[in-house]
Amino acid sequence: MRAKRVLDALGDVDGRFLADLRPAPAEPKKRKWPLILTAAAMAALCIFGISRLNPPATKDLSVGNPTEQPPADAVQTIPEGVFQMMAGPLIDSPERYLDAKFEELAVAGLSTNGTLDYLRIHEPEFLLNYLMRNFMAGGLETCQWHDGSAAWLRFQMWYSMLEGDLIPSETETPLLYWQEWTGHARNIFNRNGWEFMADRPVSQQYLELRYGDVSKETLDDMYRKLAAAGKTTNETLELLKDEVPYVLLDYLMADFMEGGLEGCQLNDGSAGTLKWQTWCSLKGIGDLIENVVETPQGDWLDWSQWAEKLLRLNGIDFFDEETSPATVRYAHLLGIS
Amino acid sequence: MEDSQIVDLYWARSQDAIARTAEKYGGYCHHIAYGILRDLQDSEECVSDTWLRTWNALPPQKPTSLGAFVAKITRNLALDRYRKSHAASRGGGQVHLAMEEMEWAIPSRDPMAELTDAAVLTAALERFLDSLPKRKRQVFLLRYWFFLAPSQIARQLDLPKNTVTSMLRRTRLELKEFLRQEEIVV
Repeated sequence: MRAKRVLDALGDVDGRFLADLRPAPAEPKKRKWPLILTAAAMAALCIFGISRLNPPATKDLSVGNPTEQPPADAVQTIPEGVFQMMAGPLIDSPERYLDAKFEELAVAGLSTNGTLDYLRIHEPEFLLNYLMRNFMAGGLETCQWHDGSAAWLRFQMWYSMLEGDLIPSETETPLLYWQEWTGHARNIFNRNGWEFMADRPVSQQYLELRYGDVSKETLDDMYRKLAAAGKTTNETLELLKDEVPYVLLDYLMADFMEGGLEGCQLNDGSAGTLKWQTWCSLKGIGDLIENVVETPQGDWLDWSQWAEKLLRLNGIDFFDEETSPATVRYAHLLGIS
Repeated sequence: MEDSQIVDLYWARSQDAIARTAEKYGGYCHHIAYGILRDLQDSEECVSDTWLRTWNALPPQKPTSLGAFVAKITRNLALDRYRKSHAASRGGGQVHLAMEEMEWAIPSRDPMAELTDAAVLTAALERFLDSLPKRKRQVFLLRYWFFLAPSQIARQLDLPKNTVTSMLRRTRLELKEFLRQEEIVV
């Protein structure tokens, strides 16, 4: 408590002492690669090919050999002490735990990809829960209400596909709003002649590179089979989490990479379906899969119309701006609202 | 808009004062709150509370530096909020770490001695800060006023992290000696 008194008293010192001090928000800056690349970052970069060190000059986003696997030592060069350092009482929620881990790893100079690889292999449950939570929370729309790290992670992963890894040059997770990051990303993309939100070739490339369509389709198939067998959404998710956590993890990561709802239209709608069904379950509407026994086929629009009809029958407004901004946004995107 | 003009708006009870303050110091205060709370929503609420406190305080107060004024309010509110939310379990984060560091720097208390008045302690700390070279003072305040992590301070001041860490350690020792010489009991 003595320290508390000193810190409190320090807070009352004359304002002149603060005149030349203003904590500067972190600005994304490139650090000189030769000086900062750690062994782990180098190893992680090897996963995707050294060619990524240089920003592509055109919109050709070739990412190397899709069958290329991470080298075994890619995740083993992370200093052991880093995680011990973080295993203190400061983490009071899983999100914060993972956020803190991510930040600490970044501070330790590890690349985004190195961090993700580490977490995937050593802490898959945490990463899975983290991504599931983000997934359920509606993605981008809700990130701004949290500490931004989910959005930041998403942005970093995406950005790193194009221009190399930002985290080593940042040394820590910036404390900026998502909107600011978006603005920054937009500028970078505009400079390179890309449209930030227009398409997601990078995500697609990422999917193909890291997981391939096989995993995703495998999960889609499993999901459909489970649904057809009468499993609820939550039961399905739980089952997949227990049975094939890595497949589910990859699946959710893939959706995460694609930008959530907005990216669903580019695929077969199953991610949107899953998200939407989960959302329904969370809203207390009950589990739709149970009612319809099987997951309907068709694209997202069919799902939306079907869902809208079903919800209206139950006296629920599907496009309620207050409860589901993401849905509304998505509906606007499709022009069906 | 100049601070004095914004303060005048407060004195004229114009609600535009809050908007102008938020425009000029919103990010600054948010950064201070976030550095302590590490939670965006809590920080936003803290900053909103800052505007309310400022509105209630001006008048009668008329600060010359509105930035420092609102920064102090934000810091105090954020610390209060932090302590409340970490009352049950000893929390973590930079505040906790900074307190632990500071605990080591303070001379052992004579149980018979009376605690130094807060205002006296503040005045002593001001003298201590005045005695420090500028860079050292900046590092000290960024750590113990703004609760920035050493890595953040290093980046902001363009110093190696080890330099920041050792500078902080030396300054704490100097503070310890200073408080001892001044016979400050906390």
